[in-house]
Amino acid sequence: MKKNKGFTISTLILAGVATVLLVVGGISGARAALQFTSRVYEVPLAMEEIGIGILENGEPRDFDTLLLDLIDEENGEEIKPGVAYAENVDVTNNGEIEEYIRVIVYKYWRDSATGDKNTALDPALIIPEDPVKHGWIHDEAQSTSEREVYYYSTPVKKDQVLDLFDTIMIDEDIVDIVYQTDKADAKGNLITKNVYDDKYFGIKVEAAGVQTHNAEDAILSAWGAEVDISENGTLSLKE
Amino acid sequence: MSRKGYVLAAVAALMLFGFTLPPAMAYFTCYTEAEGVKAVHFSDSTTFEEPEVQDWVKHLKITNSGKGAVFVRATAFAGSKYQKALVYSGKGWVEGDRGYWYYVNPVEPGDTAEELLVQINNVPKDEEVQNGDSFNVAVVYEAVPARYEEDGTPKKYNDPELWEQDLIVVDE
Repeated sequence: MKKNKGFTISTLILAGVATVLLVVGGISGARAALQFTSRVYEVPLAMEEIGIGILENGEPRDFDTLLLDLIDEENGEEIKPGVAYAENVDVTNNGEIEEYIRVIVYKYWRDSATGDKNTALDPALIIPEDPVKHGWIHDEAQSTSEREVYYYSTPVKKDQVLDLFDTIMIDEDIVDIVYQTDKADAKGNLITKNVYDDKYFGIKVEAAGVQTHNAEDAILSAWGAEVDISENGTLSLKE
Repeated sequence: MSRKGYVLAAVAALMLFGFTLPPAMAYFTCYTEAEGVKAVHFSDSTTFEEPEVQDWVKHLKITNSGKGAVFVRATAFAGSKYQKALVYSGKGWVEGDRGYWYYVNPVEPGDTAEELLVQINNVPKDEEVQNGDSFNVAVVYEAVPARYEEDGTPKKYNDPELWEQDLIVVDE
């Protein structure tokens, strides 16, 4: 009976080659970091940087900076139900390359005393202008009354500015939504109070961009959305 | 090559692909966000002043003590004998339906509407008045939260949407 002598020479050679490939492939990042080049031969290379920004009335905005100048509160102005207040919110490509853009608009109410979100109050009463008017596609399947999801239908070029919405309004019927107190007026009628009195309405805009190369896969990977990209680059939602 | 050799080579190849595939699955992406909040006030309480009658004229004052603008209307009752003797006047007040007089502009928080004057004409002459007779004019007034068009123009003072809208009563 032939005795098993373990690895053959060819096996060991193959294993060695595989190990070398593995090590070289695995340490490529570290290897790159250790290379030096002479300044004389340095060539400035523009990185393919992708970027996105939110503008409110033409000014860049981030964090808690929206709605600050919606009304003249210093002179006692109050939000009036049914009035479309100027609130010009845009999204811009401030990167170096073209991109597809998705925006999620969140709407919510907060209690004034605690500052906590009050999910019992109806976000549908907060009405930004419909972004569909400005070329956005509304993803109804991904939207709820608290968040609306929109995609821009074409690739957005560097420095291009997209209108998202120009106004924001509180539904006029809000004045009729009341609860009964345990107090009565002179005629014995229970006094009602408006449910939304002394509340804060809030709006949050999330904007995201993704590369146009391999866009269908990139969008699926980054946003979990299945889209079709036509030959001319037009984005549409898969049925 | 032995079976063990194939297995080792396959594992090495898998590890190699395993190391090199993730970079190919990364895409250029970017993200930003901005948010803001704004307070709203919709309380619509009002106060009503009705000073002593002077020269058979009632001076009615309605003040908005709430935080939201309101529309107001008022009417007076003097009994069937003298109802037609009531004469209304006041800057900014106009006659509307069902005997109501409407203040044409919304009353802003803290403001008082112009006085509504209710005059009793054809005052009973002394000889017609018997000892113990009484004469009473009761005033009813109502206020509703103001509503506006999208451009900020107040809705018309007698718009049915203002006065006939049912309240939606919800749990607190």
